[in-house]
Amino acid sequence: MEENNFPDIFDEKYETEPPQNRERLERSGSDFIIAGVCSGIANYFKIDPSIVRLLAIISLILGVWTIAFYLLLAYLIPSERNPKELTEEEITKQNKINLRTIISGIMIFSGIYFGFSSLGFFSPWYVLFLNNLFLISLVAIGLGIFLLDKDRVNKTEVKIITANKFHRAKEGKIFLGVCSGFAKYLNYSDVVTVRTIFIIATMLTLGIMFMGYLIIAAFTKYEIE
Amino acid sequence: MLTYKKIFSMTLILAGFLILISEFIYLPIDITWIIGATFILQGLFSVIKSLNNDRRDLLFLFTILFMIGIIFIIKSNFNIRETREIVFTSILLISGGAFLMLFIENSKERIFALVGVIFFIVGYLSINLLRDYGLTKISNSLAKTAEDFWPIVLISSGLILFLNRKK
Repeated sequence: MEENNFPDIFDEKYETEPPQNRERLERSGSDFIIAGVCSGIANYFKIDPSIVRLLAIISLILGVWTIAFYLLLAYLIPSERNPKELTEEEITKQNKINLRTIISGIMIFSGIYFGFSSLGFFSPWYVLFLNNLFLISLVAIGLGIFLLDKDRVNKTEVKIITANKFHRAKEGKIFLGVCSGFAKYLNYSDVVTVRTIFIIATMLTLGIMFMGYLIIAAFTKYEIE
Repeated sequence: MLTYKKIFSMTLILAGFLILISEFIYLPIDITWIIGATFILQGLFSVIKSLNNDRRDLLFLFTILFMIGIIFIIKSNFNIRETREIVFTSILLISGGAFLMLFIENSKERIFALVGVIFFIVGYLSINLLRDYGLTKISNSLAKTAEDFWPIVLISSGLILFLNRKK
């Protein structure tokens, strides 16, 4: 009888190693705002998570469908197997970037929304097409339950020691240091956001907010170095 | 323990149920009223929590949210259709309320009480006295003009903030 020359697959030399670092779409466990879907997608395609987040916020122009789709993805995509452990400094930096991304996303979204409305292309409700209150209510309940369930895992409460006295800041000031001082007093690391909101409020109140700025500057001192 | 996220989740669920009920059973409330009530609930519980927690940033933020909720309820109850007309007064009253809250949290900082009261007075005057002097007309005409450029301002400042996010 002829001997066949088939290889013995049980032989050790034919053992293949399991694939290392195989790309898998996972929800990020270290960089997340709601469920880590945007960050997971960004990691998979090797792009900046802020860009995906910004696009997700802008896509809210399509209405509540975006949130429904996000929830569906959060349900379907598994969470990260080995989440990166971040230092406190890294977490603070990440939070700052995330907050700026959210605020800039909201501003761009509002700009597009108001732009469409004022150009008369759509009525405000038509822009958010195919929306009805029934769908909105279902998404609100779904998102609420999702967040409530997620909150069971993370229960650490942050207690922050805040400054007892308000001072105008010398470091990083642009005009009189009120915004920087206010950010420090609130124990809020991002002065740029405080300034942006202050400028928008000043524009909307015909400069009256700036009057408040000057009053605060007149009655408070600079911080002692 | 009642966390901020839990408060947000619960108010979101409540808002969802309120919308659902108002859709199927007749309730004399509209979506603006529901949004307002949600903001008030979220703001109220979070403000109480922030006062116990020494989170001044969140105290300021949620006081603003609470006040926005009140504006929404007023808008819904009094059928104010022209939102543009109440923006000016609303921002002043909301800022006044937020600064007063900071004074309540730390009564040593009387400057916040002063600024808060000034904003309240100017806000009140803008409803009554200043309307006679034509300030409301000026602010409305300015708002109308700004409305055309507002989207550009928002988009460009949003883009600037986004591009500088890592600085």
